[in-house]
Amino acid sequence: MTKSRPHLLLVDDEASIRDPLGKYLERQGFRVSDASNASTARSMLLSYDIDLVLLDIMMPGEDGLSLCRHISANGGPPVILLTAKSEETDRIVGLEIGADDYVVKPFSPRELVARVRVVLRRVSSGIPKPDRMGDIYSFAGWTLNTAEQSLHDPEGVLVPLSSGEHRMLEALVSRAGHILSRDQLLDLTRGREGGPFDRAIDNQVSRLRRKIEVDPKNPQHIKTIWGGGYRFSTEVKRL
Amino acid sequence: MAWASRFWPRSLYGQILLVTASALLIAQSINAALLLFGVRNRAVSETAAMVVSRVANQVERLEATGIPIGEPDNWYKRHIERSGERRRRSPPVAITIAPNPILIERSHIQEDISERARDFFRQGDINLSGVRISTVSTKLLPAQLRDAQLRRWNAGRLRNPNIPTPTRAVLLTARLPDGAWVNAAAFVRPDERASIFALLLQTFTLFIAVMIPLALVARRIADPLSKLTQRVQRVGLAGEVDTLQPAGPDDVRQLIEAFNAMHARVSALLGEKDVMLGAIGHDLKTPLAALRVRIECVEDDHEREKMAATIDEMVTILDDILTLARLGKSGETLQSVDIGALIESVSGEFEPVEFHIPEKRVVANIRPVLLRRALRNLIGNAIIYGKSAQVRIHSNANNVVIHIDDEGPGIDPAEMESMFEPFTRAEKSRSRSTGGSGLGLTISRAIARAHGGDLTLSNREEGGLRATFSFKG
Repeated sequence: MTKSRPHLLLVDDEASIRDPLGKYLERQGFRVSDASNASTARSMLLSYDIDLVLLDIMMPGEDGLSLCRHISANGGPPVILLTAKSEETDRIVGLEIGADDYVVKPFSPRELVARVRVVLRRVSSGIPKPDRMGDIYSFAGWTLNTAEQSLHDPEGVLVPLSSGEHRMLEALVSRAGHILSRDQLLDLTRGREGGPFDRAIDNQVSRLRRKIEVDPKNPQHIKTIWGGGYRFSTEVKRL
Repeated sequence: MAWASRFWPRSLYGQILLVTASALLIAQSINAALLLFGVRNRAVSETAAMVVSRVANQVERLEATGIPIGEPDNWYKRHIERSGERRRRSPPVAITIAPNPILIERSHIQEDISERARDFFRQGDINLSGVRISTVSTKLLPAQLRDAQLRRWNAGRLRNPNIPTPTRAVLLTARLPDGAWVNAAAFVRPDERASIFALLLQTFTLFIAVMIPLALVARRIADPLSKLTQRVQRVGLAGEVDTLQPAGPDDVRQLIEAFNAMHARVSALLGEKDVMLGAIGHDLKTPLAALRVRIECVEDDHEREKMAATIDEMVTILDDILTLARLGKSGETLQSVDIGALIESVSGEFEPVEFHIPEKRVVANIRPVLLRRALRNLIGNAIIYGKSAQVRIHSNANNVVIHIDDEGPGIDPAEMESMFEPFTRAEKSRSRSTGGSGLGLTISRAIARAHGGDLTLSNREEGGLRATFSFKG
């Protein structure tokens, strides 16, 4: 399934980005086709076996979000969005309509290549697209929205989490009932910025407990398993 | 006057009603007092006049006919019986002759009336001295002056049960030439209850007639005004503010119309600005993105990284300018947020941050992304310029105040206010090398103000700078 030269489709109306980026990606060992608008992109998707689409959001005519929705709805290749806006709402919308990842312009080409490889590796190893882009979990009245990265308490008050805490809670909640060792948690929570080191797991758990437990000294949700690690012990519903 | 200000209503509605009600109450109290006083005085004068003329009659008769005082004579009896009407109307006067005057301790000497009585006797050549007229409670009168009268009043009540029992009497004492004392008393006609009742009714009617229409009118003015106030408070805060239907009297109506028109103009201006800034942002970011891709061709790693850093800095400045410019029309909605958790999550992004969060959870209605940005700026500043950051939350019913303290050198007080101007840095040492756009404090203050609060800086006594970030809770 893995091709020696993955075929990327680069969709951007700006030639000043399209040309140098295309050249750079080719130097990195990709085959690159490009399109300057959504309709060209649609026809190229039909005529080539595209492995991944790099899609600019702001384009004249049909915009990137609409094309992304189309690709995702038709079971097309994975999409990485290139967005000029860094406002959080845009990112959330992008992820909710089925994009696999996004980078904010101006991005580092190296980082883009790293993301492309991560997505391609995931697709080729047959792992389905993780739902972490848009899952809503609920436990004991609390709601965790993974796309918005938001946690609301039973009264509907937003309880802000750092991105590390959020990854930790998501890892625990999505595997509720299972014991997760510190090593597993390290793997699961290692984010883009590089993960926390061993001790930080315990710190992060105690910070989370302060925020979600009624009595952090006697936790009901995140339980410490002696010699094992941590377990999320409250019943979790996926909405 | 703290106690007074506690009861003083703060709203227009309350003040209008309270002032009018108080004014009416005072005016009516004065009226009532005057009326009551007049009625009482008149009753006393009339009774006194009756006592004086009876005493004068009896003394004259004594001199002319030798009939002793207090003894009824046939002529007088006949006279009274003939004009029976007069007798029924005037309460009788009881007269006794005694070696001593009747002195009652708790009596009120009526100087004016006594003086008039003395004049009257002198002019009539009636030889009485030591004339003294006082008012006294009927209960304190000696039996021989009281009982006969009381019987008459009780008899009168058999006919008309509504007649009240007299409580006061007029007492006259005067010395005859032979040294004996004339003591005369008559009950004062009781206060007319009807007139007091009428006064109360009048007061009540006046209150109803004035206060109800006034309350309605005041409501008509105050309601649209308070709606307008709420609307004005929200302008620039929560995205869209719908126009307010003009209501109330013309003055208020025009104010609301003027506000609506102004709001429409301001919205249009802000809309244009947003479109323009969005375009500028996009147009500048595209060439920057192209440049960022092209510098990958630079062979020298060190040079390339420096170029990338410069581009990142330009993007930061651009983002900050866009944030600042769009602040008034942020698309983010207000939501209730656990402020302690917010501070904890922002603090987690930095290394040496100490934070003190109150036991009781602080929840406020805010825009979390903006507030996070403001706090990140302030905590970041404390760490970059002040080596460490201590964050404390204080909250009361209306406000949340966050102190961010550092241990740096502080800021020259003269430069304090200029720190909030865009692209200002405190000292030469705070150069671009420390990064940042120079818009951090400007943005943070704008965010605080957009949340109904403010941002101020002060040097701490213990050394270091304190940033005080407040907003409406």
